[in-house]
Amino acid sequence: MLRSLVIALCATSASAIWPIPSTYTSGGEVLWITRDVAINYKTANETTHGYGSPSNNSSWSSDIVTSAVERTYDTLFTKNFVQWKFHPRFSDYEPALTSNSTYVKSITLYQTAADPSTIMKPTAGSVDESYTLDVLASGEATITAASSIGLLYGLTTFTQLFYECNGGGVYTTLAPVHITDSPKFPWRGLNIDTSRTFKPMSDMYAMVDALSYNKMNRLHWHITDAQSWPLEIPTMPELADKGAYASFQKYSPADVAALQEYGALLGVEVVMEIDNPGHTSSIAFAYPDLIAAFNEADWSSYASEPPSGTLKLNSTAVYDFLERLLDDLLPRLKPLTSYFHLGGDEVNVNAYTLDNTVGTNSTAILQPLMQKYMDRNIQQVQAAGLVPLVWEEMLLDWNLTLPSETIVQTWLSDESVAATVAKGHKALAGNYNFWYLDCGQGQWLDFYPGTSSAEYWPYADYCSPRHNWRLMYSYDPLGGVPENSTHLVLGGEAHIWSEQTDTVNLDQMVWPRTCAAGEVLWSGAKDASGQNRSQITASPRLSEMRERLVARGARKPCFCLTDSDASDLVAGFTTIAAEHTGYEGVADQILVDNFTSISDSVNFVDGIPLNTTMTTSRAQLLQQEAKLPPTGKVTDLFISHTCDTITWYFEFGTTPLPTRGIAILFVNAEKKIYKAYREINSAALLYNVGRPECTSNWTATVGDTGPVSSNSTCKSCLEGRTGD
Amino acid sequence: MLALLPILALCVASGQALWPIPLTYTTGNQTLWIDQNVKITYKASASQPSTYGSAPNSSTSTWTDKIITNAIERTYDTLFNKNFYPWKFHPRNTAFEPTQTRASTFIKTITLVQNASDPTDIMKPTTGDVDEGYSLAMTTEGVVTITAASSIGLLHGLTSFTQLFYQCNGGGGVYTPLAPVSITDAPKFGWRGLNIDTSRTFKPMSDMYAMIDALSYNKMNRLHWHVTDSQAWPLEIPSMPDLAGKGAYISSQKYSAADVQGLTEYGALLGVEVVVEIDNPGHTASIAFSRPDLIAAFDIEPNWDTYAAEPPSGTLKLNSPAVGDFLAELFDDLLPRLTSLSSYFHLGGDEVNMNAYNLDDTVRSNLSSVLQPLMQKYMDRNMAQVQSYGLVPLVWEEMLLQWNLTLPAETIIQTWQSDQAVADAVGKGYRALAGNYEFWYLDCGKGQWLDFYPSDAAQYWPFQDYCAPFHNWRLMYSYDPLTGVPDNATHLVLGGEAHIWSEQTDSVNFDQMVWPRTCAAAEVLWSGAKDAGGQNRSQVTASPRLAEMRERLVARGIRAEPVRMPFCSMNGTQCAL
Repeated sequence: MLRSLVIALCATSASAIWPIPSTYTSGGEVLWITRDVAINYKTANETTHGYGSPSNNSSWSSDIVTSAVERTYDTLFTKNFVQWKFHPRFSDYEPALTSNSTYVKSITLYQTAADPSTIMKPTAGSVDESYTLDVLASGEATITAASSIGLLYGLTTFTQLFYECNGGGVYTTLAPVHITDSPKFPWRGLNIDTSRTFKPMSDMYAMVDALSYNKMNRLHWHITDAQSWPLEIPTMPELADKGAYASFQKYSPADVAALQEYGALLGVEVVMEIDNPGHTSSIAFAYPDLIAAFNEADWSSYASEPPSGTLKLNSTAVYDFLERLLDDLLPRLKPLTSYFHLGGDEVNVNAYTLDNTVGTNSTAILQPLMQKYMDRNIQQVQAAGLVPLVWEEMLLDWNLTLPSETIVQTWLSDESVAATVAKGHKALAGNYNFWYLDCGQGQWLDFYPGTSSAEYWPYADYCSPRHNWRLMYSYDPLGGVPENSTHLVLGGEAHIWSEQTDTVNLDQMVWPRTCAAGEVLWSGAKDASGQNRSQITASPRLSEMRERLVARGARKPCFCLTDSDASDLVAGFTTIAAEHTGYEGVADQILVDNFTSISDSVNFVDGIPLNTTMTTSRAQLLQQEAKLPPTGKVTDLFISHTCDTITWYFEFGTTPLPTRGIAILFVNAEKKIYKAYREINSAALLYNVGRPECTSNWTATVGDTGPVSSNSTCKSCLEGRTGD
Repeated sequence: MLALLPILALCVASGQALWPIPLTYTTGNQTLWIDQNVKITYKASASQPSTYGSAPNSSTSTWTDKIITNAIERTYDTLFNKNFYPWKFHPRNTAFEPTQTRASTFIKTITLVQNASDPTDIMKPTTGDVDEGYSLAMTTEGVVTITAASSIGLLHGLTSFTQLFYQCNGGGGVYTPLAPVSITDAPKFGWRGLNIDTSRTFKPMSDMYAMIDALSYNKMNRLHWHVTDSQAWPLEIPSMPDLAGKGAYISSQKYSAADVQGLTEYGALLGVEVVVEIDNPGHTASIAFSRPDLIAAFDIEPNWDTYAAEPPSGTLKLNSPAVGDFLAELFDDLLPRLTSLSSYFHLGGDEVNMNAYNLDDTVRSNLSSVLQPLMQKYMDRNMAQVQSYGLVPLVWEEMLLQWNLTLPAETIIQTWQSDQAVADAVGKGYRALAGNYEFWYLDCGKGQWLDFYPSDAAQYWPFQDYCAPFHNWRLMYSYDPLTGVPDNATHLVLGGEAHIWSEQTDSVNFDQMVWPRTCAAAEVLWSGAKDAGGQNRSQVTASPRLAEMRERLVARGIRAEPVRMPFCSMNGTQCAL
């Protein structure tokens, strides 16, 4: 009978918000909302230009708030859901829209303090993520926060108060609403493994979107591992060329930068991990000399998974490699992150018996070498101004001395968290018995018939069973941590190791279970009275959050070009080529800094070897275009687009010969072009720029010797062509 | 080391390709290309005068024609639109693709030879009626012949044919590296099914069609449609519109008579017979939304678990003329619509909770001595009506093994609780379906779907469901429907079914919950749990084939979960222990 009472309570109280706010009161009044509602943004000191004191970062603050406002409209009006599942069947639960209905009149965002200058790459705790939200029954809504990220979260909560009507219209039944909210932990993350299986960028964007919608603020990108190296390192192209699974499963610098930018706008800092010295066998495809114990048939003696292999421990070549690698990578990451993860988990000491720089598995010998190895890594990370993270083994198994700012990521037990903070280090929680999302899918190894097959039946994996959301929800990152050390537990992460998770099932493996971690990290594992949170009240809220995530279409890319986006980008691109001057501003708007362009037909005309990348930056493109005569009017013959590419067929210079060409433009989430493949009719172009011998009638002129360009002839051009 | 070498060599040298594995299968290593211009020609046996054999009647001939035409169209579609580029199955950065040159050999002809006439019930076969076997020969010159006794056999042969071919990267053509090929094939079991629950969550028709497509591509031949249950009644019954009008979850979640007809027709074309189940007398609480007088113990709270396995509790009354009339009316509406494309009807009968009859005003007892004769009478009525429509009845094992009902000899007993249940059912002389829940329940291992109050939560931690852990494909693959069945009774085991109960499976995760794990059941049912040497089949050789089948399913638009990370597929048996 006691149970019935709680059910009655549920029926009258609203569910709505995930994660649950610190305080939350709501009423029973209906408010409608339309796209016409204005969202106004006010800062504390309206007279000051920007967002407060001059030391802050007005550009990012503005971008974050603008993005949050746009997303609020998008969520409310195009990604909302009809809540029929949450009411008795065929009950008339939807409010009626009448001429007397009250609408949300205004939404005011009030930022009470200046964002820190590192708002786009905050260290844990440096941004006040809290907010208050008031929705009056009369329709005035106010969100107050100290930071732009706090306003973003307030708007996120605001959208979760609203539902879509079956026949149209968006409403809340919960006015008046008063919420005060702030996170329990400043580090609320998801760790995604993109080595064992590749995740296309559209998946990565979708994950950032869903994380932000759960008020999570870290995407830990475990980007490389033993199975593949998908990360392009421009100074060492062979790493990904030989180490990626396939040439189309690589992350370019532009991909990485774009994901960081997308995350920064949504309060989700991308923290990259290059796991080492273990979990590095994929380096051997490019640099076999650096890896010991590579791909041993008896892999289980040397690694926890095939292929075995580790960076050699006492090798100057390895040191040089790491220095080059991080010198390439860290400066590119630094503008949008304050952290770098150096890995260090599951180092297998036996592998060092096959390491010709060591030749032993004796920890007495290995430990000092590991200290030296990690000292080098950490110094380089710190020199780049980044805070290092390592897995718990470096501290707790190897007893390394680490800089005090090092964040230690635990995974093996609650005791690991306690032991880490006892040593005075900051720790991340994420006990694999609770927060490893890959567990319970079953073994991914195959077992030979006979003894092996019988011994491993029923083929449950090492951390089976599956960690259902209730189990994940029952995890307290502070379990076993003395009260005087809880401040050292920065938060935690859920982990999606990807032996059996690729793009097809990534969404389902991660959501909605990671919401459970999201609420533990934002709201805490205990309620206001110190009790474990109730799954009875969490379950309907989580069910609703699941519907909101499905409505967000987490499977699709989070951005998609519209027809007008495509024609705008093409028009901008045309301007750059067609005009003599005045196109720098246009280029800034539509091209990323490191824009690349590939065009063998232009290479041909310019006498550059074919298959050479023509342009590797926006500045270079502008320099090149400035040297060329303007094309004059460009006619679009055909434009078609997907969410992130544009196909464009065009014509220019109709006299004396029309020059036709085709281009494929690659567009990032910011709707900027980051790469172009362009091919034009080089013969017509040459003719039009004053090489009449290169008419389309090639056979008539092929024997002629007239100049084609300063260093070649039409004939030699022809002969220089490849692949004919 | 010893274990690794020979098998590695074998894997690299032999093609993977086919799932389920054929009875006999030899391949070579010549490359053949195929393009859209290839002709697929159908020939009935030379001794037969007409195009499609002797054509005992026009309706059979029409169905044979439709099945063949459809199979041919799908072959082109699969080869050229739903093929895949097998980069994951070769070491990275290797040039594994053949190059097409002027000297390349193309498939010249594909000839389908049907050497017997289809039975008249080809569109609704009873188990064993249709010879589903086929043979396939592909010469290095590009001449392909598929021979079968039935149109369905030819369909299965064409399905195998498509699994020999791969797509070149970048649209560079479709090829097989496996010529010459010789296959003879026939199923171990006649009933190879998947049971889909559309009551606890609704599945849109597009999902149901996709499931039939995937079942057929795995040479499975039954879709058991558990269409109604206690939580919702999505099935429209035109003569009783309130049933779905009030019992569906929402008006947009109903199956119309045309939906049912459309699905059964689609299935018949693909050799997948749709077998509808109306589970009763238990699992019927959703009837109470329209006919509250028929249901006892409806929606008892909070102690629903005294009266049912799941909320909401409720059962059709056991000794009620009104219930008898209701069932008669229901089946008189439904069964005539099903008989044209099915030979079976499933009467349910699982998990009847006797306590519910304490609250049944027509019984008021939970004594089995009182209930058993009433249940016999209740089920006799059902059976008689099903048989009067010419349909073969199925019931869940409890009706026979727990309630000790006397059932018509032709009744098929669907077991689920144990291997012993199969042995017991055939021990009583009945035909049985296997599908032990500890192996073939696809819903297991997701965790509890019940919420636990804070005071009780500790005792249910870590919130595992009753049949956890998750039944991974290797576990499903290790199941033998014949375990414990005496040799002289194995013929009574018609086959089995995998089951997707849907407390936690809706349209969003349906594909992933069913595929590729159901492929493991498919191979056990088609090829048998043991290999030709009588040994349990090896997961080491199955795994790369299944990984490939998964890619073919994904190419078909089925969001099947991964089997192996690319590293494992790229490296032979590197991921074996």
